[in-house]
Amino acid sequence: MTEYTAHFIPCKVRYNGATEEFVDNFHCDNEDDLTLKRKEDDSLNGEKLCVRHIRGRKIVGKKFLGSDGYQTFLVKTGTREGEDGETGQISLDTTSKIEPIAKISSMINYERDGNEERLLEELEKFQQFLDVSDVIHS
Amino acid sequence: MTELPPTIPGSLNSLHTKNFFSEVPLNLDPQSPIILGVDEAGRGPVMGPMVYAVSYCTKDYQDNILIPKYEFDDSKKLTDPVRRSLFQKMWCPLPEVQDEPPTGSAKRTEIDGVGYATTCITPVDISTGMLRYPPSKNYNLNAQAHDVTMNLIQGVLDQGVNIDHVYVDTVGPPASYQKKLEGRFPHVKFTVAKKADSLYCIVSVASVVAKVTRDILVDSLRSSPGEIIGSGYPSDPKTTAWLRKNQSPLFAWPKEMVRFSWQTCETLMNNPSTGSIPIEWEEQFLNSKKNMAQQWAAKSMVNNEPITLDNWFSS
Repeated sequence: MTEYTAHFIPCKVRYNGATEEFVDNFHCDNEDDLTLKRKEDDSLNGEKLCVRHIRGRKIVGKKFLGSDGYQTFLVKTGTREGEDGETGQISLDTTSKIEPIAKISSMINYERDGNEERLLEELEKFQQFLDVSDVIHS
Repeated sequence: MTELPPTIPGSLNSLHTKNFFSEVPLNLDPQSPIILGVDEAGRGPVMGPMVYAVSYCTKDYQDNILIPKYEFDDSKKLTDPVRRSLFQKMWCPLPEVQDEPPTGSAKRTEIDGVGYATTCITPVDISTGMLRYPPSKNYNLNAQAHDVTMNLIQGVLDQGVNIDHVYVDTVGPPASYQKKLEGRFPHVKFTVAKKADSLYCIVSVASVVAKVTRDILVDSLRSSPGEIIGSGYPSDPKTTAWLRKNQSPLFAWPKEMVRFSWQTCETLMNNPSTGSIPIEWEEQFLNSKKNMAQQWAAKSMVNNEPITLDNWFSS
C-alpha cells in the first residue's frame, strides 16, 4: 500500500483531487532561520518546526502520531445516509466496510506563522485525547 | 559586464533575505567626518526583491571626488548602463592591479573611498511578514524597511566605521522615522528626507547600488533569456501579462519571484476566470457576520467550531 504524509493545513482549499503542482511547491523550507523577522516573533524559543509556504503565507507544523505503536490509514467509509436538517447531524451507513485506501506514514499539523501558540495548544489537547484513549483501550 | 557585483552572489536563488558588507575603504581620512546614505530599490513592484543599500565615505571624498568627477544622481534619472558603470567603478578592481596576488585587504578600485552594504529582502520574506496571522502579528513593509536600515547602519558601525551623519531617503513620514533612528543611534546625526537621493550625493550612491543590485537579481529570475517579465511594477502591462500567463490553479506563482501580499496577486487569485482554485483563510472571516466556522462548516459539522485538529478527531 502506498504511504503518504498527511498535512493538516489552516485554510480551506475548495478543490478535491489530484494535482501535479506539488512537484514545484510545498517543499519544506530548511533555511527558515534566515527569514527576516522581528526578534520578538520567535515565540517557540528556537524550537525547530516544519515550515512550508502556500500562496505567500508561511505555515509552521509539527509531526504527530508518527510512532508509539500507532498506525494511521486513510480510509473510505460508508456513504452518507441521511442528514438532519436542523442540526446538520449526519448518519453514516454503518453496515458498509471501512476500507483503507492508503497508509499514512507521517502526519503534520500546521498553523499560520504568528499563531504558533494555537498549534502547540492543539497538539497538547490531542495528546490528552490519546492518553485517555490509551487508558480506555488498555 | 560578465563578472557580477559582490552584492549579488549571496542573494542569487536565495529564498530568504541576505546581507552583503563591502570591506571598509583603506583611505577613510580620520580628519573628515564620515557620512552615510540610505536608499532602496523595488519597494513598489509585485515581483523580485526589495533591496536596501547604504554607502559611506568621508565628507571630503564626497565633496572633492564624487560630486565633481561622477554623475551620481537619483538612480531613476540615470540610464541602466550609467548606473552599472558607476557601481562597477566602486567594486571592480583596476586593471593594473587585477593580477596581483590577493593580499587579504581591499583591492584598489577607481572609486576607492566609498564603502557600501546591501540587504536584499526576498519576495518570500516580504509576503510571509505581511501575511502573518493573526493580523496583530503582521510585520509590515515599513517595519521591515526600518529594521533592515537599522541593521545595515549597525553592521557598518560594527565594522569599526565611526559614522558622523546619516542621510536617509524615505517614502513615509520623515519626522517620526528620524526620531526612531536617533533613539536607536544616539551618537549619530540623522537627516531623513523625501527625495534624499536627489539632494545628497552619498544617498545617490546608495540609490545606484540598490538599483543595480535589484535589476540584476530580477534579471536572474527569468527562466529563459527571452522571457518577458517587465519592470515588476503592477502598473506595467508586461508584468501583469506575465502574472496572468504563469498563474497556476493551486499555488499560483513561484514564491521566489512574486509578492503574494500585493493586491494585484489577491485580485488575480480571486478571479474565477484565471482558473484559480479558491483558498479561504481565517482572516477573511474576521469582519464577517458569519465566522469561519459557519462559512467552512459543511453541513457535515456537528457544531459550529472551527475545524481544528482536536475537534476534528473528537467530533
